[in-house]
Amino acid sequence: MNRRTILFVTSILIALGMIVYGGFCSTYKVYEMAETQNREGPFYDWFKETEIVVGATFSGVQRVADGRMVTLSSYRSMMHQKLWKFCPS
Amino acid sequence: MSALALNSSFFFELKSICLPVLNCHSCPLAIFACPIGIIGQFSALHLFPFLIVGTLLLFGAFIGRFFCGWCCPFGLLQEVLYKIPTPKVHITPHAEKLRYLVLAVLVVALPFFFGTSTPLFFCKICPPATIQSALPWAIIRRELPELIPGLLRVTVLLGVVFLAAANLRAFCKMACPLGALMGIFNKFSLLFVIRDDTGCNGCKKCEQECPMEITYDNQIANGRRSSDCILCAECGRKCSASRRLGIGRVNARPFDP
Repeated sequence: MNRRTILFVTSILIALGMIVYGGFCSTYKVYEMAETQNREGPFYDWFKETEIVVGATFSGVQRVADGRMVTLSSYRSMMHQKLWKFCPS
Repeated sequence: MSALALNSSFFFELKSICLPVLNCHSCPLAIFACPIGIIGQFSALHLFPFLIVGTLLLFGAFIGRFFCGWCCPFGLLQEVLYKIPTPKVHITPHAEKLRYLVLAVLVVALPFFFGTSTPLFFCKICPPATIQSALPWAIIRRELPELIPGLLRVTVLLGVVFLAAANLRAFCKMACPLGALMGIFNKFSLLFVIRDDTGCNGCKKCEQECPMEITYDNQIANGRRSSDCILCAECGRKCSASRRLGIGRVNARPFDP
């Protein structure tokens, strides 16, 4: 195997590891750090919603900001309502 | 097509996923999240964006900067702007390194130290975001943005527009932080522009057609792969004898006129 092949295979493995860890195992840290850093501005609000949908996309059911568990379809309508009133930019 | 595909409210759930393309997620119409925006937000929270970097790495390992050349709506806009008959300028390779500074300072360092509300955070002055999100929202809401950030946004946008009219894909070359990040993966990506020595007669038409001004002498001597290549395959369009976009072995010979 040459250097490019090794880099390619290694990067695939690292990428999959990062996606699994970041998508499933470390989402709670975002909420913790937002409180610690006291940085819950509009951009963070947006990300928080984004992160929730990541969970919903992968697992079907996910905790929303106030701790409730919702299904993807009910969440979809909630997000639509929110997004059309909100622009972090 | 890419602008429409990336900006409609269909497949709403996909908004949670990043694609390696600079398309502002602030607009409710955007389908996918912008990786640069998310990286900045994570930086402000002092967290490493595992999911986003993993996604970019996965895309980058397979297709390098393919999205830059084929799917970026702002790249398309720049190509249209370049058709305006204005004096054309050349951007030196040194000036092209500026995009790494943009990535390090405006996307990562500033939000890390000052949060995402600082007016110089990349998303606050991002030209695609100004076009896709800030200006439409200002019109829809019929309210003017804050004076200084608003002026900064518009000034940067106008600067990029003038520069793009004078040099093809000037923003991609000099300032795109996503291009800087994805360019790293060009070095080992599965998909790349492959050279066939047997058909090359040394006419260098491929170099003349390259929108990123990649030349043998300045960037890709000795078989190196250029991190600037956006895999648009314009070189192959003019010289199908020796250039093609290839999905082959990882160790396939790279573009090397």
